[in-house]
Amino acid sequence: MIGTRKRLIVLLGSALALLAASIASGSIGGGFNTGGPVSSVVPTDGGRELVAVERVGRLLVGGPTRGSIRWLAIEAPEVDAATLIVRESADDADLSLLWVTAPEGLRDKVLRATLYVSHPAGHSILFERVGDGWIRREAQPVELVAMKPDTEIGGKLFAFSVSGLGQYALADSDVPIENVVAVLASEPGAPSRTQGAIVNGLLPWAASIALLAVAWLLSNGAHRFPAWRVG
Amino acid sequence: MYEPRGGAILPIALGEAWSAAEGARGTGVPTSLRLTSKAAVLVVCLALLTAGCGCLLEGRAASRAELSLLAPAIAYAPRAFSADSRWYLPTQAEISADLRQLNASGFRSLVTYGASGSLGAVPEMARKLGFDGTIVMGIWNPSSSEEWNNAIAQADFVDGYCLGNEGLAIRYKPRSLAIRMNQLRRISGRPVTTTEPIDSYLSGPHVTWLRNNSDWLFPLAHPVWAGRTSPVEAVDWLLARHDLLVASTRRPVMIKEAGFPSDGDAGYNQHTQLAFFDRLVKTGLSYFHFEAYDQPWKHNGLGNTEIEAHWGLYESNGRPKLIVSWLNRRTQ
Repeated sequence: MIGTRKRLIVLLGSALALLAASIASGSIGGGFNTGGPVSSVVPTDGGRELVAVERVGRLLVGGPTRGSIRWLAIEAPEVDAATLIVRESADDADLSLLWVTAPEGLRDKVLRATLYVSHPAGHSILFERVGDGWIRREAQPVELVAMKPDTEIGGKLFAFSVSGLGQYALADSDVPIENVVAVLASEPGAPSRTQGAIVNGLLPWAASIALLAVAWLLSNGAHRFPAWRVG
Repeated sequence: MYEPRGGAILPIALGEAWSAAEGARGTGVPTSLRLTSKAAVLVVCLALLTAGCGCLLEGRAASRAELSLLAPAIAYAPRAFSADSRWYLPTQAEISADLRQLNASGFRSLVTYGASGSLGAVPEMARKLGFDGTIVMGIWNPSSSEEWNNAIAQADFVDGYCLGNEGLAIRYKPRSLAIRMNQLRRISGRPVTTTEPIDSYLSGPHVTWLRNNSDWLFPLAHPVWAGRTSPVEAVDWLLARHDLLVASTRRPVMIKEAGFPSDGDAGYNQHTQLAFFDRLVKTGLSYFHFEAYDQPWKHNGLGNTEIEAHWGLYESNGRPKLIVSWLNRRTQ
């Protein structure tokens, strides 16, 4: 049996370990996205994820764990690391809208990027928003064996070379192009979806304080009520 | 700057300008929490434990030597070389003439393919003639004692070795190649790798073997053989594979052969060859231009498709193609 003080220390240690170990994963991980909510013509799951990208050679690479984008490679030689926000929503016309939001310090230094998409359709096409228009990018199918099947996505992927990070639309190749054009034309591109900030550690801070409060209550209880005392 | 291939711009007016968000790096740990000394010790222990596990897991990767490439780089087989029935190894004078010409065109790095006979002295000759970049020496037949001895004698002039070329489980067995690679690594003190087509590093039976046994990843990337016959498609094909290999291995990739033929079929000419490299150089990839000289024996002697005879940046008589003057302008 361990004493209350030791339990408090263990609780505190656990809280800090949780804080240190937390990984960026949307609004419950090591970061908190203050950007606008994901919505679309017909919102679905509103998925969003914080994705850490790290430098390998001239590329920044990373792999979202859910959604259509499974790997990202960004040529930005002057940047060592960054955290991106990847958001996705789909409408009922089999069109997925994707946003890859980058910190300003990275966004302006991107020379090119490659997005790897896992898509259930046999073929897919991607539109990249450039200025006031959308540019169609051609898919390059590529097979990948997942070396860590639990965390990596393998199988058939579609690679798209894009000019930068921003907004994209992903569609099945058998969707009539006029349907895609119609949906994209109605897409307002609200800045709230692409603006915002990542504030480090906000929720883990809150979680730590909450745990501290619980520990304090337990400690108080242990001192007030003899029946609670252990050890 | 590399501009991805795009179709027609859809004339869709959008109301508001794109504005990306600001963000911050990684996940920070607040330091203002007041810790008891025991809690602090606990946290420190946890951190050390975590870091220790990480080092153990990544120890192999950390021990790998990574080569960097000083561009421009060329895949070099001598102009006079012939490996068909009229087997001919060029003289040192012929090799010197080639190397002088390549160096004068701005090439600073090179990779070779074989080390038998006069080919076994190419790295030393290249250094003396001004190649100050990365020199990777090839050993075509991993079980050849002549190539082996020549290669080890060149250790002072090379940055790394490439043992074998596109022959895994065909000309040599993975297990025996791995043993030879380890021996070469130990004896020469240089990083050692092998070469296979880039898709073999992403999928197929040898993915794990290639990634585990290569000190650096050194694939061949020939979009033409994948049916990408336009320069634009070819570079997109190459980028898709290169970037995925980097992302999925977290290791830099150096392309041993990136090339585009200048003849041999409709649509291939010196202009398309130049367009391919002009686009490729803007991607920032590390690659060796494939290849220095046209090699007619690959078509005439081996009966391969005629394209095989026209990968050179120079014709087989040494006359430079369009790309050489473009390279000259770039390097100057």
